[in-house]
Formats: sequence, structure tokens, C-alpha cells
Amino acid sequence: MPPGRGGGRGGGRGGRGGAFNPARGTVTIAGTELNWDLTGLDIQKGPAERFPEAPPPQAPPPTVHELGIVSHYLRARDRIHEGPFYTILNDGMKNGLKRKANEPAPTEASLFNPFTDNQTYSAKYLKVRRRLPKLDARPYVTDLFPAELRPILDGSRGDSNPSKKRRVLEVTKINAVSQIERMIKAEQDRTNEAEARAEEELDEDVEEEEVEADDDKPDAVDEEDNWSAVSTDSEESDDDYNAEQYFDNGEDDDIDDADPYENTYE
Amino acid sequence: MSYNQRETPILAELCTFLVEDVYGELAARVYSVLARHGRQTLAAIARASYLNGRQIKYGLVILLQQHVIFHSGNDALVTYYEIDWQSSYALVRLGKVAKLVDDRFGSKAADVISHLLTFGHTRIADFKEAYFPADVASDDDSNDDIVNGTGLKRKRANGTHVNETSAKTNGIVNGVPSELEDVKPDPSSLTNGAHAANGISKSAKTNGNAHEIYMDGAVDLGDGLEKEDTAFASVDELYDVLQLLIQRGWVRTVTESQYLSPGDMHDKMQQETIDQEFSGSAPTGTKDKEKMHRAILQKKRHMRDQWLEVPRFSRKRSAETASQNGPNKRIKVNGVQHQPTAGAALPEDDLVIRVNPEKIAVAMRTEQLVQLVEQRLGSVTAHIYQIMLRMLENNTPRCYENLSEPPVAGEAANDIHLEPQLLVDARAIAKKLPRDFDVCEGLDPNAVVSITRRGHVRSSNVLSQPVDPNRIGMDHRTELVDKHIRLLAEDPLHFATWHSRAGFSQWHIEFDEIAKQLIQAEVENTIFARKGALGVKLIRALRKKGKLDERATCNAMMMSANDIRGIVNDLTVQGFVQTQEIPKVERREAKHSLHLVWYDRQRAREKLLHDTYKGMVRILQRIAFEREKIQPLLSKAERSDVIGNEEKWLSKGELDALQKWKEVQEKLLLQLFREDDLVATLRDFHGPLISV
Repeated sequence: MPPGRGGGRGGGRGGRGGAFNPARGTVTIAGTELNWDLTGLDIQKGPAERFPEAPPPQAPPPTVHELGIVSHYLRARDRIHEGPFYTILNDGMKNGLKRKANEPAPTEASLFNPFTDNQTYSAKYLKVRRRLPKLDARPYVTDLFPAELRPILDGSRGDSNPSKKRRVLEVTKINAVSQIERMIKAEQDRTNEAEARAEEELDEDVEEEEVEADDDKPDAVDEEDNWSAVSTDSEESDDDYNAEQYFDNGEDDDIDDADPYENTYE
Repeated sequence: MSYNQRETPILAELCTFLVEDVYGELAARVYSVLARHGRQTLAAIARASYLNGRQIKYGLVILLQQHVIFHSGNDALVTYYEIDWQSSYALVRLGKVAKLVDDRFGSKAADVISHLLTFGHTRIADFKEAYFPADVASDDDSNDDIVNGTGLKRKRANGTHVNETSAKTNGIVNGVPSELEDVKPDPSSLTNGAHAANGISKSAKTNGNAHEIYMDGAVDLGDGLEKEDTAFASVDELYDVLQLLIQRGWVRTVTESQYLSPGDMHDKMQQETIDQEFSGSAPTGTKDKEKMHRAILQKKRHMRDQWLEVPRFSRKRSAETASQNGPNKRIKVNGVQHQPTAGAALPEDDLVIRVNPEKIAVAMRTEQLVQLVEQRLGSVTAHIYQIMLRMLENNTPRCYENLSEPPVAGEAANDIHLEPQLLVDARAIAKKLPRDFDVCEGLDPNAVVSITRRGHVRSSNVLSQPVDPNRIGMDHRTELVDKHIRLLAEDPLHFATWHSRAGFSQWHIEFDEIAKQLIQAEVENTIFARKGALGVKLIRALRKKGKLDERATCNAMMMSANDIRGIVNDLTVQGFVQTQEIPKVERREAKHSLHLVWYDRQRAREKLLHDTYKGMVRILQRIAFEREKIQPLLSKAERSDVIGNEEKWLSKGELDALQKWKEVQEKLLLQLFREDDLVATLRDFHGPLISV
């Protein structure tokens, strides 16, 4: 309360801010009714925080039943992905509709990612994805399909000699998730091994182990990177594209040792 | 506005994502054309799409094979293609189906159903060959696998592999469906609830019991399911599983008429009706039209029931397909011994089968109700309820009748007639309970004492003489189970309803009423999360009182208009509350009009369903984005030289990233499946609600 307004309190009306209500012994400040005795009350004067901290609600952890559902789903989906129907077109289109007139067609150059799409030697190991489903890999119940689609089900692709290949459905067991799990398992084994080894190292001879470990590593690097890798020190740090590290800032030029007047005319 | 300026309807977007996620880009591109333009011919699709004719045809074949689209058959000159929204959405339930079947019939059946889902539809003969490839096939398919294959894929289930794995998985747990064999038995990736949950304190009871039910069921059926591993030992076993699934309605036969879209089906039926009953000329009068309407519905129901008919299997059980109860066990088991040798061609091999999508919703309803009961009444009652529901499940082909006759005007609704197979009594449940199941748990101790007539209840609500569940006689046990069922019946949600005194009082379950309450509960949950208790109060007040103007709302809610306005506004904007303005005078003035608010449960339900679809789309987009981020690493991990040598070629950081991706994906999928549960509640358990 500003001291100058002390006399006007009883009037109750007017005055910006407080209004004293003698009947209840309260005062109204900024629309809030408060006790007259304001000692110890901390009133927020500033504007409210615009984006107050609001932690998002957390989903409860999965039950065993739900984990089962997820793993069944992943297994079934990965089975389909390994199967003959799964395709990846990679043609830069979002859906199957025609492009609008003002939209340029995606070109090969626009689809090319200079960071990952450069062919290296190891590209020959990459998994090849289909662009057209492999329809002749499995048997069909041709009667259920409309007549206009039946020719391609026979695997004859227009000409009239159906392929003689025997068609079977597949019951696969391997899938990508189990691969990831396998990798992680392998990694865990490796760390466990490494720990065990570290313990052993204390009392056993160190040299042999180290030689062994060294043997593995350069091999790996060699084979994987011998197309692009020129500088050896960058491989370890995964930092190939950091231009700063190749720029030595003139620090190593050792001009101090040389004759300062070497390059000058006298 | 032209079509391409409009936003895609959310379900179309969701289903396109699902198709892309499961069947790849080509199928999704073709699908997206159909989703945008609706029913189309092949030529029209080609016109609307940038894909070439061959690509479109291939895409259509995939979609048709997986029953994601309908086609109009070969009778007319041109064939139209149309999306089957229900079954495209059902792609999200791939895992759920397998898990539900796993809980009921064991992991072998889950394997079968999961593969059936993968194949779309298939002849039984081809299916058999997939599991038991003939010798000729083994070298033939080798060169095809390389394209998508990973090299390791060759180790397929040919004879030796099957035998080896069965030896491996056998005897991990007795009688419990063991892990499917391609899952590592580490605790983080448990496929199988039964024994994993035993360590976890709270859910231990129900889950532990779940497998007992399963065992019960298997013994009851008496086919070779007792010994558990996922690889089939013989062709007969595979047939047994298939036959069981068909009998229980999880798998149905495929006919050409199932490819007709609802509209085509209606036209066909209408034409048939006109030809047969009205001698070729369409009826004109209202009465005749109604008669035709009824006849069409009748025909549709008949056709639908025909799809579910269990085909006669030529093998041992052909005489007794109708009954599935215990007494047949001996005959069945004995029948196994003198079987025709495996591999002989059987007449049913030509049957085409697929998974029955309607049954999935029924099983999901069971799961949700059991979960709800567990929250409200405890795990023992929930287990008893689970047995009840699963017994009924076998006779329930779908959640609700979508083709029911419209009531005849003037004729009173005939009183509820229930078929005997929709009733359960306590004795049947008591028989199914395992011997050491503690039925006294979760009951009022006074009730227990009044039944067992031993001891009394101390003041601290403890029995003076403990009851050994193993020693309770069948009669007492039945009475105790009946007490549990009474608990269920007395719950505000009325989980069970008393039907008659025949036997030891029969009960039935009014699924319709419960489903309505579930829908309402979900709507209220959402509103509570968004607007707090006041929002729910408003909804309930409006639901009880109907249309209210502001003053009446204040009276009904006993609040001031100022407090209510904000909530009404917000809920109106969100679409949960409807408003209406009725002018009192000729000029439409705000001052002189009535402003009513009301709550329409069907609209609220549809709005919430729509929001849920949207949420699912966001999750799928998020998964795609997360995958995009890690894509270079994923393709490196898939390289043929990396597989098998992961520790050599992948660094620690990369393995950590893979692990993280796996966790992220699982978490997002989990949320997706939870939202799918919500969709099931809102959409699948009850037909359209007519508001009062």
C-alpha cells in the first residue's frame, strides 16, 4: 500500500489496486481477496512465466503382455520385410499420385546424398532392396484375383510360358531384430571378456594380449576404408569432415628458429 | 477446392503409413492413390498415378493378397478396386493377434496364425508345404533368397533344423508355452507372459494363471498341444492346430465373395432379392421396400455365417466337429494313432484360409474387460472372469451384430432370448480352475465362513481357521466361485448379469451395456486429462439433463456462469460438447436467442476416435523419423559382411546406438498398441450409438 493513500482506505471505492473490506477484514489486491495482515506474504509482481515448466506425462512401463505383443509384431513385420513383397522405391516421391504441374520431377542428382551415397568398396556388401515385388516366389490362389491381374501371377510377364519353378511359401525364422539383439549380445560378451581380461592382465603377461588386440584392429580399418581413407589419424576419431583439424593454423612452421631475415631483401 | 488442396483424411493417412511400414513403398504408393480417389479401375489408377502399369499391377496383387483392398469381381466388364479400411487398419494388430492366440492356444498356434497373417490367404496344401517342404523344393528356391536375404536365411525350417530346435526348446518349462525359438531367452525380450511374470509381484497371480487356463484348454481339447515347442513334429499336428483355430473362429475359409466391397455386396444381394422375391421389378411401395431391406439383411447374414462355417475335415474329427467338450478327448487322442501317413493329399488341402478379422476384436474385448476387473475387483476375480469370457469367446463370432433387423414398428421388442451357449454357470468355471487356485482370496471373509462353516471371522477381518484351497470340495468351490460372480454382477459396470436358476444359477454378460460404459469412461478420461474434474462434471450433467441453456447449466452444476463458460467453450472447440442457437424472435439476435449446450456421445466418441487416429499417425511419423536418423547405421548393420562379425565391424558407439534405436522403437510401438486398444474400445465393441 502506498502510504499516501492511507486515509482513503475506508472509502473502499476507487484507488487502483487495493480495496479494503472492513466487514470481513480482508483486502482485495488484483482481484484476489487476501487477509489484511500481509506480513510474510510474497506477492508475485512480475508477469507470469510464458512457458512454465511442464514435464510431459510419462507412459507407464510395459507389462509382460505388451512386451509380448511388441515382439510378435516386430517378428511378423520383419518376416514380411524379408519376404518377396517388400519393396523400397527410393524415387523421392511421397505418394503414388501424379506430380503437380509446377513440381519438378526428382532427378538423380537431387536424390543423391553426397555424404552417404558415394559408392565405396564396402557397398558391394550392402543389402539390396527390391524395387518390384518378386511375385513368382510364392503360390497364389489365382481364382480369387480379377482376370486382368492373373497373367502376372503366373509369372509369365506377358508372354505365355509360365515359369516352371516350384513355388513355396516360406517360414522364416531369422529377422532383423534378432540381429540387433545378436549384435548387442556380442557386444556385451565382448565387454565382459574385456573386463575379465583386464583383471587377468594384472598378474599375467601383458604383451601377448596387446599384440593380439593390435592384430585385429588395423585389419579392420584397412579393409573397410582403403578407398577413402588417406589420413590415418582421423579414423579413430570419426571426425573426417572436421576441416579444422586439417588446418594447422601455421603453428608448426617453426619460423622462430629460422633466420628472421631469410626472406627479406637486404 | 480441388482434391489436392484438401488435407488427407486422417484414417487414409494412417492406413497408408501402416501399409508402407509393413508392405513397403510400392504397395503404399498404389494404396495412396486408392485412398485419395476412392473406388477406381485399373486404368483410372494408372491415370492418377505416376507409376507405370506394371508397378501398379504388382502393387495391386500385393494389396489383394493381403486383403487390404476389395475388388468387384469378374462379372462386369471392368474391375473396380476399393480399399478395405477395416482390414488395412488391422495391420497394426499383427502382433496382438499372435499374442492373443499365444495366450489361448500356445506358441505353435501363434506361429501358425502369425504366418497366416504374413501370407494373406493361402491354400492349406501350400501352407503345409511351407512348414514341411518337399525334398524337391529345398534346392530350388536358393537363388531367389539372395536379393532380400541375409545369407543366414538359408537355414530355413527344413527337416533337420526343425528337429534340432525342438530338442533345444523342449523342456525349458514344463507345459508352459516356451519362447519362440528365434527370440533370445534374455529377460529384456520376453515373449511369453506366463513364467516371466512369476517373479513380478503384482501381476504374478493372473499371469501365472493365464497359462493354467491355457493348459486347461489344451487338455480339454486333447490334441497334440500338450507338449510345447514351436516346431511342429508332424503334419498331423499342424492340421490339428489349423482345425482348432478354424473351429474356434480364428481362421476362416476364403471365398470370392469376400473380396466384394460392402457396396458391391449390397448391390448383388439386392439384385438377387429382386429377382427371387419380386420377380425382377424393383419394389415401389414403402412396405415392399422394407420387406426387401429385410430380405437383403437376411441374405447378408446368411452369407457371413457361411464364411464362418467349419469345413468338414476328412480326418479323425469329421464326425464331431460340432461338439468340442471333454468327453471326446479319448476318441480324439486315440484317433491320432491310426492316421494316414503325413504328406498324403487330403481333400481339405484345397481349402483357402485366412485369419478372421472379426474374432480379434472379441479377444481384445476379453483382455480389456479382464484388465478392468483386475483393477476394480482384484486378480482372483479377474481370473474367474477371464475363464468365463474365454468360454463365451468360443461361441462369439463378433462383438456386435452389425446387420441386425430393424425393429418392427408397433410390435413390442421381443424379450431377450439367449442361446444356451451364451450362458455360463459357476460349476463349469469351478471345474476349470486349477486345484491349488485360492478361490477364497478377494472375497469377504464372512462370506467364506458362511460357505465353509468353519471357524469365524475375528474382529480384524481375519479367518480364525485358515482355509486350504486344496481341500475345498467341489460344491463349496462352486459356491465360492458364485460369490465372485456376484461381486462381478454387483459392480457398477455390471460385468455379469443373472439369467436363470437352472443348474447353479446361470449368468450371461451384457456386452453391449458394458461397451457403452467403456466408451463413456474413455471419453471422460480424456476430458479429465484435458479439463480436469469440472469438465467431467459438465459432461455428466449434460448427459443426465439433455440440452441446457446457460442458466439451467448453472443450476444443474451448482456453479456460477463465469466458471462454467470457459469449460463449455474449450470443450466445444475440442468437439466434445455441441452447441445450438435457437432464435426467439424473427431477427436473429444474440440477445434474443436461446443458446443450448448438449453432449452427444456418438459425436464425442467419433471425435475421440479421430484424435486417436491422429495420435497414431504422429507415432508412425516419429518412428519413421527416428529410423531416418539412424538409417546409415542400420544399413551398415545389414551388410552381409557385418552380419555375423558385428563385434569386429561395429564400434561400441554404434552398438549403443542400435540398442537405443531398438528401445525407442519398442517404446513408440508400445504406445501405438495402447492407442490401438483405445480404438478397439471406441470403434469395435459397439455399433453406432443412437443418442437419446
